[in-house]
Amino acid sequence: MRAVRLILGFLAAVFVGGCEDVVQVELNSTEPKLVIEGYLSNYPRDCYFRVSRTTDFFNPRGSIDGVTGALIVVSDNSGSEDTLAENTPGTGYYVFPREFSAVAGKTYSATVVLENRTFTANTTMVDQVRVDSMTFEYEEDNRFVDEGEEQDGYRLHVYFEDTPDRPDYARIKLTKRRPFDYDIAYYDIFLYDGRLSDGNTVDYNYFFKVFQLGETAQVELLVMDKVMYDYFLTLREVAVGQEGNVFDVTPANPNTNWSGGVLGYFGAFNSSYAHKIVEPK
Amino acid sequence: MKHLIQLISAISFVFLIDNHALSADRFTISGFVRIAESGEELIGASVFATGTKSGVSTNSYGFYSLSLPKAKYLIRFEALGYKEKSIDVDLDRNIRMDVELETQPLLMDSVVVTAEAVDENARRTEMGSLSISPTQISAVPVLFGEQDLLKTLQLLPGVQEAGEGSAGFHVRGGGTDQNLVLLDEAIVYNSSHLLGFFSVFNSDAIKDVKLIKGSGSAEYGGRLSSVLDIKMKEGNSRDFQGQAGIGLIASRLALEGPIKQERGSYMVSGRRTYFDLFLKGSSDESIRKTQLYFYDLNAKANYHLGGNDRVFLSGYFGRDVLGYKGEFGLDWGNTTITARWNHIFSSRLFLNSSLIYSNFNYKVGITNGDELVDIRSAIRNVSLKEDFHYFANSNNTVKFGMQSAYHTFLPGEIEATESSINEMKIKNKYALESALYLNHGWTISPAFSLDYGVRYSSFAVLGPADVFAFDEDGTPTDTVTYTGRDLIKHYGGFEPRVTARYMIDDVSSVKASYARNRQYLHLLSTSTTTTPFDFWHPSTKIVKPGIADQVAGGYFRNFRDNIYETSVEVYYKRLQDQIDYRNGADIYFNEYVESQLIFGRARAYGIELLVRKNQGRITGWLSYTLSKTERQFDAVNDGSWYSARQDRTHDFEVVGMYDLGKRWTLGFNWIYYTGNAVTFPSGKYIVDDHVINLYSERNGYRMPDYHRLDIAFTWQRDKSNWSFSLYNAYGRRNAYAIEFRQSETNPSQTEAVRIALFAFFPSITYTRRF
Repeated sequence: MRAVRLILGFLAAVFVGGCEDVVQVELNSTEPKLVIEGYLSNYPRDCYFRVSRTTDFFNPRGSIDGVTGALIVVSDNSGSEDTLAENTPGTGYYVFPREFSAVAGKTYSATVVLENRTFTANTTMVDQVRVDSMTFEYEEDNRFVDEGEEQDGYRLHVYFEDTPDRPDYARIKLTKRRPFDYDIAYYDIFLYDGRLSDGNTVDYNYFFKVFQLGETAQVELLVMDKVMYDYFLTLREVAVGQEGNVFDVTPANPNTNWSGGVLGYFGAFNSSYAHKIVEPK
Repeated sequence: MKHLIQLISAISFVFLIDNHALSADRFTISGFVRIAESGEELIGASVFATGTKSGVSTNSYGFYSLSLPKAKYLIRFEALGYKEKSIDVDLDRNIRMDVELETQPLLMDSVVVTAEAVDENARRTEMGSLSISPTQISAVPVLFGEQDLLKTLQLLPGVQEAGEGSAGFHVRGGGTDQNLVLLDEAIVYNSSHLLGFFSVFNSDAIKDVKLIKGSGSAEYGGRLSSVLDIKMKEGNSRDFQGQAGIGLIASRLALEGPIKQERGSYMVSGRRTYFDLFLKGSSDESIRKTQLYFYDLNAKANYHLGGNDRVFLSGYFGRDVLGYKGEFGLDWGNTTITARWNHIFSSRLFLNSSLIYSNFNYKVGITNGDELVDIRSAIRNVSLKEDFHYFANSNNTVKFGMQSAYHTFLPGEIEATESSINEMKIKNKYALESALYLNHGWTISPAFSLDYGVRYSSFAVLGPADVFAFDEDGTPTDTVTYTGRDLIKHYGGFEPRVTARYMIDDVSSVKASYARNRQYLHLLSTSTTTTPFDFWHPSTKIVKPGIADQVAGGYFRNFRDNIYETSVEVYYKRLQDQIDYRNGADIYFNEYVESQLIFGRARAYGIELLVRKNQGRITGWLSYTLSKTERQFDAVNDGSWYSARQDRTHDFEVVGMYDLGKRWTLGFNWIYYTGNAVTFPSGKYIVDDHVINLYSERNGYRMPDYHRLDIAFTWQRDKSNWSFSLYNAYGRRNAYAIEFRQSETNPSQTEAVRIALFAFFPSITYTRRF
């Protein structure tokens, strides 16, 4: 539960401020494993597959290469079928041969054949939930803002209606647009679980982020099924630089929905955008 | 029911022994052994008839009873740290004799004191047990200068802290929830303040602490790995006295005195931290409005209603309070209340009846504009205990009795106004846990003694409740609703215990033991440290009670006139029906919490060495444990055995107190242990543009080895003492955790970051008695 995590994070910050330093740790080498990311969206330009491999922990990020030569077929429960092709050979990015967008209510199946192995997964596109409104609340001395944020400024509230009688699972991506400066696309994996707020107006607020006058908050609300939510929830636990604290339990690989022993996911995300500028009252 | 009848007939048998014994021409001397200065009862003092090899120890209420053939005897009363006393007795009738022992002035305060006979280490039948008294540890350096019995216990073999500075502990590889923590017989559900950096036990209020590492007498039960039996002081029944202390983070006040001379006494002891009082002075409003404190209040009173009856009332109330700017508040704490009645039926039959209440709860309040959210969770129990202690003769003592506890669990409740969060309440759970026990301590010959017994424990899961069934993925498939006080599920079984001792000569012995324990309550937590959100869950249809079987053996020997005590103990423990969590388990506010659990087994084995010096200018001990603790769950590491997190190959501690003279004492301890088993990534990959750690196996790595030296200087005068301590004196950066993150200087690189706590942490404490 998010509140419990926040409080533990707070306690950790207060008591375990401690001192930090970089140390050498011997980590085992592992056989590179396949990673398949399959992302379907209502926005055609957002749909993609990426096939890559794992690398040793201390290798630079650049050493993670795309994998060429995968045969990827996506079909839905109404009989439509597409074979994806690698966009630029060598990158590991695969795209639909046509303008493809996922439709709410449909179930999609993906089959990936690579190196004589076959991997399959299913996902269901759920109904959209749109942001109703966004507001800013001025606040001073917020001591618990993330590193790099100012303690005085505006806290963003995002309001949306949770769909009654159905638990909504969503991810909310946040981007800060600054005048005359580059945008900050926040790296955090913000998740929403409607189990405790069924049918209510949800006030999702960003306690750790601070906006200033003239800046714009852009949010993308991505609704997904429970399987995808579980994937991102478990992914977040082990993503470098995410919400974890020093008291976290034993980490483990995220719960993938691929069969056949690969990492990654195949999911459909129903997304919508909203934005709001911080204006003087 | 059949079991019950067997047990009752076994108890009746004991009374038959009694009648048989009466027929011989034997008489009994019985009474209490007390400390002369305060009238406080002495636990474990030895009472024996010189020249006969017949002897007993006082029980936990300071009562003894010794039956001998009619004759004249010289009865000797002994306890380490007290002047011995010998009294001539003409035993021609049953005699009641209360005896007072004076504290040995040389040993007062600064040196190790245990209320045990000097050769108990080798002579007592019990094994795998450790006891310390608050005076014993007053010179041991501790974090923040706060004397802490739990922290000092962790310096003994087979006991390890759950994390740096943590009051949580593992005993012989058991989980932190497998310790039965009793304060005046009441269960303390959460023994930690502030994430475990402090325990809830304020040394000022504590008389005696005993830890039994899994082979306890049949009177104890309910946890798999250990019993930590803590007794509060009774209070001085002669004179009013007080003690006040001020330290780096907390101040303390303890008062005690007679209610009525020689008839009754009371003790009240409080402690409160005062970080927040400093915060109040801040010019910064958000700091001023931050709350952060905890307090403990212990109170106890006792009164003699006559020679044979005595009543006690004791309580503990403690709370942690945390708040930030009125936006969120969190408070949690324990309450225990114990009402006891000691009754002496005859010189040989002693009864203690207790009515006990224990409660732990937490409350979170979140305010966001008009939005108010209150989150609550609690566990409580009311229990009744009847413990008989029957001193059949000098070679046979029998303990028998019953316990019954009614547990109420409030897993979670959310109240919300003007909030997007819905109100919700997970239904309370109810259970009745009961036990009957019989334990016989039998000195077969001067060399050979046996302590054996059996406990029958029973756990009834009661309605009203919703009972769910789940499929393999943890999806609920069926619900059965019970509306009344129905019996939903019953568990129960025998828990046999036996310990044998054989004296090789006057100073050495070998001992062996076997014990089975059952545990019906399970602590659920997804955190590596103790937090207020850890909650107890009863055994249910799905969650089975844990079972532990332990065999242990040991060699005990004293040297140089009992100045040195040494022991070697080996153990092997097998644990069934252990709990772990599914990957990504959501256990908080989840009515389907059982679906988030997985079940497996564990085993632990090891060897423990202890050398202890109890007298002289230098006192202290050396402790070494070599051990292995493993777990096996079908869903983890392909079902193979793996190291438990608390698996620690080597664990070495040296604790010393050196009397420097001129009222100065130097205390020090040095600790070394193998790092815990831990899960580190073995690779990485990219998903969603995030770098993701890749794991290949659970607990396949080790934290770096840990070592630390703490020192303390104590300056003692008649009425006051100053203590200056330095925790982690050579400033070793021991890893509390290792995190893997993106390099700040080169974001395309990942690096390992060590998080260390408390290097060179000094503290000062002043205590004054009046």
